[in-house]
Amino acid sequence: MFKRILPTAVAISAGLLVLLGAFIPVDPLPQIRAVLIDWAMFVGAFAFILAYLQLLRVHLTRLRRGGKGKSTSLWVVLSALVVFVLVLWQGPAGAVGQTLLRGLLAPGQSALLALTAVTLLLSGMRLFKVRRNLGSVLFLAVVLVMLIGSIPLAIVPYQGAMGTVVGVADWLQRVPALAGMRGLALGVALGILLTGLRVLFGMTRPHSDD
Amino acid sequence: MIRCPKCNTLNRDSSRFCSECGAPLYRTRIRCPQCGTLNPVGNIFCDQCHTRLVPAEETPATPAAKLTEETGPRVQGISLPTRPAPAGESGETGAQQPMPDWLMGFLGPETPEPGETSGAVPDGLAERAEETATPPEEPVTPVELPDWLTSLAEESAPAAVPSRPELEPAAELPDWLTGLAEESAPAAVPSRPEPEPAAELPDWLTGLAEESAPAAAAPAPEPEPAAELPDWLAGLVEEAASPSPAAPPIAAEEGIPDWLSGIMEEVSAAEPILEPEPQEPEASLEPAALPDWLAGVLEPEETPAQRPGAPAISAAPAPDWLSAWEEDIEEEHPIGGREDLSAEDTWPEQQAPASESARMGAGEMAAEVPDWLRALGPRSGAVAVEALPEGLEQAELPMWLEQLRPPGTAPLDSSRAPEAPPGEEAPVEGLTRAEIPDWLQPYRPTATSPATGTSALEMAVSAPESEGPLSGLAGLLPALPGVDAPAHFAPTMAVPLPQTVVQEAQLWQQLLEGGAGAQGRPKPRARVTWPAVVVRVMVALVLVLASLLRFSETPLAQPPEQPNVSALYATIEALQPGAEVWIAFDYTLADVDEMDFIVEALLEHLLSREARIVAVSTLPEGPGLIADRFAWALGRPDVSPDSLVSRGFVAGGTAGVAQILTSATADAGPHLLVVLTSRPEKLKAWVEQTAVINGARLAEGKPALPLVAGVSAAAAPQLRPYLNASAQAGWLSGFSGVAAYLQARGLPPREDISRRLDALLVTQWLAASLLAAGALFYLLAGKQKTG
Amino acid sequence: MITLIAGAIITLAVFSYLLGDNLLYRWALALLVGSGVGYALAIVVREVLVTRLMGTVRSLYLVPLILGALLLLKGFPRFSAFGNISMGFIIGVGAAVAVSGALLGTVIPQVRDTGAAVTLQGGWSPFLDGLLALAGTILALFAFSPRVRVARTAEAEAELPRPARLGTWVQQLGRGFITVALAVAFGGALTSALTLFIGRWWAVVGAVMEAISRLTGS
Repeated sequence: MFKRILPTAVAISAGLLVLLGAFIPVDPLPQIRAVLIDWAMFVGAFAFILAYLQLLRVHLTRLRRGGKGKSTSLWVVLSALVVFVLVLWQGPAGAVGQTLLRGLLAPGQSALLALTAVTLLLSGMRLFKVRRNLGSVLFLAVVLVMLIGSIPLAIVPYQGAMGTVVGVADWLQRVPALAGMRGLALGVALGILLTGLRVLFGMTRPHSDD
Repeated sequence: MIRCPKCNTLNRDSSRFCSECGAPLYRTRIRCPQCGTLNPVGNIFCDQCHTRLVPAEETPATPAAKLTEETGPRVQGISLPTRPAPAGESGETGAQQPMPDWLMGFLGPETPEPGETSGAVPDGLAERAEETATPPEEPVTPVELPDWLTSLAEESAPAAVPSRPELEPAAELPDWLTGLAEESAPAAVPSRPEPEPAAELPDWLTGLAEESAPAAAAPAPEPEPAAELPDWLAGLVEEAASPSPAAPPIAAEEGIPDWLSGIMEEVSAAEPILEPEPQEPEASLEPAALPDWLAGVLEPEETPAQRPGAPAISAAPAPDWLSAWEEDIEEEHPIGGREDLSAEDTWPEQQAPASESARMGAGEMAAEVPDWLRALGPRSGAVAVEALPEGLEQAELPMWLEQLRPPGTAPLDSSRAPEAPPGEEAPVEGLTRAEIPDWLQPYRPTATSPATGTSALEMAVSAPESEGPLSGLAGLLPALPGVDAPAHFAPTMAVPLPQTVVQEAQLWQQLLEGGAGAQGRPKPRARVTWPAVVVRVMVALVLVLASLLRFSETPLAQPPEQPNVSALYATIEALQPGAEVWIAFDYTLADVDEMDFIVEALLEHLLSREARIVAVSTLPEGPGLIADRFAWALGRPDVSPDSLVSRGFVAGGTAGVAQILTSATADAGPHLLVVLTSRPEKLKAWVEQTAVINGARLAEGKPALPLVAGVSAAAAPQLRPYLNASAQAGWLSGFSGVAAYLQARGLPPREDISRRLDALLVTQWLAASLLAAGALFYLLAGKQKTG
Repeated sequence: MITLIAGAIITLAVFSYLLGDNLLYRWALALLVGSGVGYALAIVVREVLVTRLMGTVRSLYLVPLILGALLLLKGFPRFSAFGNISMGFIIGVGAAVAVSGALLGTVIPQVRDTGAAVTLQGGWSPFLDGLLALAGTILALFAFSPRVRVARTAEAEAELPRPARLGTWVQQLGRGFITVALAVAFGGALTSALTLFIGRWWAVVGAVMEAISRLTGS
């Protein structure tokens, strides 16, 4: 009952009510939709909590068992506990929260993403080592045009070669890249439609244990 | 979906045969020993009761040792997974997770229901597995098995069992390992048959008693398509027995493991798998098929049917005398639990083939027991056990071999009466010492036994066995060390090997080299060599220099002209004083360095228009970012705290976005929605939900809610379809967009922004040069290679 | 000052990865992960649970509170089945929100905009661009179609019937558009990463100079 029937019934009924409220603006459907979405937002917070607790649980288990990775797990658990207590106490706008944000989290995560500049560059340099075909040539050519043409040089007259490159870069983004991305977006959206309808009609049950 | 072990095609769960190549598919479910729930292969913990299904995590230093000391007596050798009984139900879902193909071959049909054993797990093993099952300590997380070749110390790998080299990082534990925890699951261990209440003889014994022709024996095993006799083994093989007449193939319904089907000839499926006897994974053997060594005894010039090394599996239960003997065997050689097998899972080349071949050989020998042996009673015919438990390379010798014990050594069993030599009808009692058969003569230890060198074979030939039922005998298993240690093997004598042993060794060779052909060689983790580190550091240094050095006093870069930026400026410029503007702070902390400039540019313009700003976020870090930016805004002149309101964090992702928009537009609603994000899915959610809200608003006669966006340079290309849509009222992206926006506002260029833009220009040009240089280098290098 | 120095230290610790995987980098990563988790947990508990439950209309949150508590039972294997109800609720509402958004926010606007771009109002150049964009969108959709047979070699292609050969070309062209789109995305990602790279090093240098100036008193 709890494994399959009830969750499926809840999923289908809640989903259909929300869907009807979006397409049929007849009272009380939009109000019901608003209430259900509000509830879902609240329950989603518990999902957040569960996900984070699960992560901590993995590291706690590793701490208890020992072995390799124990020191990093210790760091994870300790820092999580300390930060949780401090931010819960003072809030995000408090001095501790702001210091953590600006002094640790933002610089650290930013540095991690900045590292990808080097790795992306190195992987791009090795492109022709891995694959040498027309697709790679097209890929590299477009990347070069984008890198050179996205920021015009001020010291070179805009017209001329620089202008051509900038124009080509702009055209690449406006037309072929847009077409490709639009095709991808449509494909993804159609997939979401299909999957969502399957869930709403009970054909797919990711929430139950079967 | 079930992946075909042969062609790697994904098939439906209910498929029993591959839709591409027709190979039988094996159900892959693991039954929890605690609650009986069927779990997908690869689960470490039961989905229901969280009982651990696989061994506990082991330390990388001494995985085998740790498992051994934790889990009890170490069982010699390793066992192949047994073939379970064909399950009655069909259409059971199979593996839901991809398995390496070579492992798929180990998988038998669906695990039998409780009460029916497929003959794989001996009771002792199952019991021990249950005893050692630990309560769940870890959440069920996707298993990442460590690559035992490269590192056993993967931090993220909670799996205890060191994986085979062929296992991919995200591969699941083989069924035969996980299935050992099941009550009656088929496992790797060739189990001993359970004592059966019925006293009827197994068919293989009956057949042997009648000394029927081996015509119905298993046909010659088909070699694996890519199988080659390993070099180290090629020297051992004298002559393979000729294939026997083809027997009816094993019914496909019985689900022959792929690894077995490749080495097996068509095996008779005449006799179903004995239930509840645990059985070998190999197909049932015709009862009358004689092993080579035995055939040589009976009729030396005959070449008996070849069969896989599994003992015969008959439909009938073992006789009481056999069962009693089996219990004795079990007491002497208790089968370890899963952990023991896990200890073996380091797959030492020396161990696995040895034990397996020993087991197989023993099993083979056990399969065909002549009636003279059968008549000897419970303590005889140690190798006449139908399915030998693991480690029975140390199994008790048949009594007729007792006579071969060198003088002065302890008898195997003083209570045993010497047995009649093969070929003779031996009385039940009062057995007389038999002559040593010719084929056994070379194994007699002599004073001139070669003892030179340190080859394994020489040692095996010269040194008597020190323990087990073969203790005191020398050179009885000369081939096995050779099979064990192919790398060190130097045969000193021609050893007639049964074909099954040869083929078994071939299988092991293939498995060690990468399985049944579908899997490639294990790919060790790429080691970063020093040139790669140097290149990486050099590239980083060049980028750092380009970022920090100032190449010109005058700005190098000029902001690009972007119509979307002009549209954004126009939209904000059109706001009336006091208009409510909702800003969604949905960018991550990693993009703060880039998004800060975008936020400041837009906030500054909105505050200059005297807009009332309501900030909200669907990311947990949002409230902190909002507080930080509001603190910056409040430091500016003429900004009132009342004009900055924070709604904080709204959970739920897309549902949270819908909730924000639903509540925001309940009354008059905002005049403008500004979405600041570095993640494409966030803007997509905002655009989609705004479209839903706008549909309702338009239906009510209200104006649509305009949306503008400030996105990072990384997200902009993916968001182009949404940003360029007619419903959007302008957007800007990246640092160059900020510069263009400030230019559109007519503001004087800021020094810091100008310098950053220059640095960005230089680094982008440098990146383009490096990319072109790399492409040229590898193009030329490739031409040189081909030229 | 503290944030500057701390930011510089953590930046350098992360950048030490360029020299190879090392303990300092792993510890920095662990610190970031742990702090991030603790920060997020605190925000969720404080901003959602406490605020909503202590706020007005508390009774309205009785049902979601029960659902949330049931969801937490997912962490306990014995009672995890009870969490399926909450999961079903979230998934059902999420699916409905996603379906309505995908239809009204993506499919219809994108199809409309693709067709609207093919117009002669702006001249021949925008018309051709629009036509190319329309063709590219359709071809990009076909690129992932499993029904279109693709010949991987010239010989295989010659053996295909004509409609199948056309299908091969259609897929190849579609992949070309997607290649261009991905190349543009790669360029954008590299630009963004370079922006952050510059920002981080400027911050490190700024912190060093600030520290020097404080130490020397200038």
